Amino acid sequence: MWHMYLPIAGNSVNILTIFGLGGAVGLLSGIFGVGGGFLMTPLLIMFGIPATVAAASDSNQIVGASTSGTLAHWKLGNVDFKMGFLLLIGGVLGGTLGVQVIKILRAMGNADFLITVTYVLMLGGVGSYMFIEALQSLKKTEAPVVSATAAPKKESTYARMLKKLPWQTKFAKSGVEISLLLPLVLGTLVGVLAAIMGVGGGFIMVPVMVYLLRMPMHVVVGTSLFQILFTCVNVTIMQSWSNHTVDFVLALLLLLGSTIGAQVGTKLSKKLKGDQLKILLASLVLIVCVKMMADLLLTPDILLSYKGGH
Amino acid sequence: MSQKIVITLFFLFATLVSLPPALRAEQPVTLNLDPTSISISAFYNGTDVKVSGEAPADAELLIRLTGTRHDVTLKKKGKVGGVLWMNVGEVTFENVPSVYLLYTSKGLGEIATSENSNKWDSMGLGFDAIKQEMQVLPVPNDKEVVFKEFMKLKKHEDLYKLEPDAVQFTDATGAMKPYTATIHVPPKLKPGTYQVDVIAVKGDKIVEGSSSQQLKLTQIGFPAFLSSMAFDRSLLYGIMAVVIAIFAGLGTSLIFRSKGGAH
Repeated sequence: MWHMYLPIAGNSVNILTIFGLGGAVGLLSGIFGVGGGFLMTPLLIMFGIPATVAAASDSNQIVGASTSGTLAHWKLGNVDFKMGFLLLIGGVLGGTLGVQVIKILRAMGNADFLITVTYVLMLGGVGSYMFIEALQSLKKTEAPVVSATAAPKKESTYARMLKKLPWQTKFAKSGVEISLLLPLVLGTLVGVLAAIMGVGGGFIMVPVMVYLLRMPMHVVVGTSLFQILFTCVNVTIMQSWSNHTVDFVLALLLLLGSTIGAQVGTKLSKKLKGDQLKILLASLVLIVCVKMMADLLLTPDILLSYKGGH
Repeated sequence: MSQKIVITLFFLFATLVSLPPALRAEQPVTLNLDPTSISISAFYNGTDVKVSGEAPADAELLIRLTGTRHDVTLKKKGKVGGVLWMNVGEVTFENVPSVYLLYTSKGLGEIATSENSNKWDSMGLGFDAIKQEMQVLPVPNDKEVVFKEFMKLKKHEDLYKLEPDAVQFTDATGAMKPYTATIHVPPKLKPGTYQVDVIAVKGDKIVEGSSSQQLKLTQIGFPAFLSSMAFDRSLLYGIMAVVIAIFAGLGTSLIFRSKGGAH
């Protein structure tokens, strides 16, 4: 009665469990502007869904959650469409490039080792930096005397370099004036990394938008969701078309929960300060980093696994 | 005179024992499945199949459900640089059954699960038979270790399983006794045709020719419709999946907006 059969995954699942899982991951999407694949895919595998089907159906589900989340953030004025489109164009270029890069890396051998270690180090580095930076800035706002007496910051080399780039454009929603090239190039880089690491890229994109594009945290969340929407539309169609790995029943059960979760998440996100959001996201990134390290260091229960997982 | 009869009987017996199993089946084990075909519909969550029949009064029974044999390629984990556990390559298991569910009567189950299960293995009834019949590529240094990991994975999925006290007997009527067992078909069993065998064992020998029946699993209704769509019209299926997801997102947004407006 409470179970539904997933024709592509070839297994049945409890409807309420999957609905709840969708809700929880949708909540994270709405709050932080990430897709949540890092959480969803391993959990689905744990419930007996083949890895390839879990990843592909998750991207189908994210289409629903990010539509819901983007609309909710758009109503709050938190989506920078211009920036989003530029990042997206870069992302598509980067993704295509990344697939070629990974072929070259694989041919060189030992690629998986390099990729995994790089990813863990990157998560650790980005997570720690974001955590410390946001914590310091939170303290400053709590003690305004200190910040008032502090001398005005000297413009960083990075900021001066940015101003020299051609095609300076105003991004009204983000409140920044930067070169058109910057989101294009950064989008490409994130796309390459995401393709190589085999992840959605939300974890990499959010810090890039915050620290390299200097966008306000709330606009970052909305714009990231907008971008994820298009990426996942592309992935879902490609996976259905060439690999037949999208289980629509699974995606539907998940997105019933996740579209609601994304709305609630957006409301929560609105109540939190930018720095609080950063600290929470940084903690999440660090937890994922620790979990990946544990997987690398601890002896696995079973030394064999099906293909298609990360 | 009586000595002659004894000698004749002895030779007759010796001949019978040395004959191949099929020819020795003077008292065939019967096997009925209920149902013999399973329909996988939208709310399917596995099902039970009742197995019943008659076996010789002094025999123990094994009921075995096997899937088609195929080759599986798996990722192998190993230590890199002495510390990190990572995928270090692939290993292919050739000629392994997709499913291997074993249900035995109590006496046979005790042999199968005892520490010294050599007797069980030597009859070629247990998981050991899979090891004997499979090939592993590339050829591993230690087939035993690789096979152990393979068994762990399959048992974890509930696709290889031994239930040692699952066949029940009722009182014998003459030379035969009725038996019943229930096969719990896991939802993970893919559509296809499976074979159910019943094997009778006396002492440490397979004494009767086994009976076999086929069990058929088919998707019907909504699952069948989606599967055929996903494989035959995959582009349309992908686009449809995306469009419905977008509308679900839009719909939820509208509901939340109207709720927000009411406040």
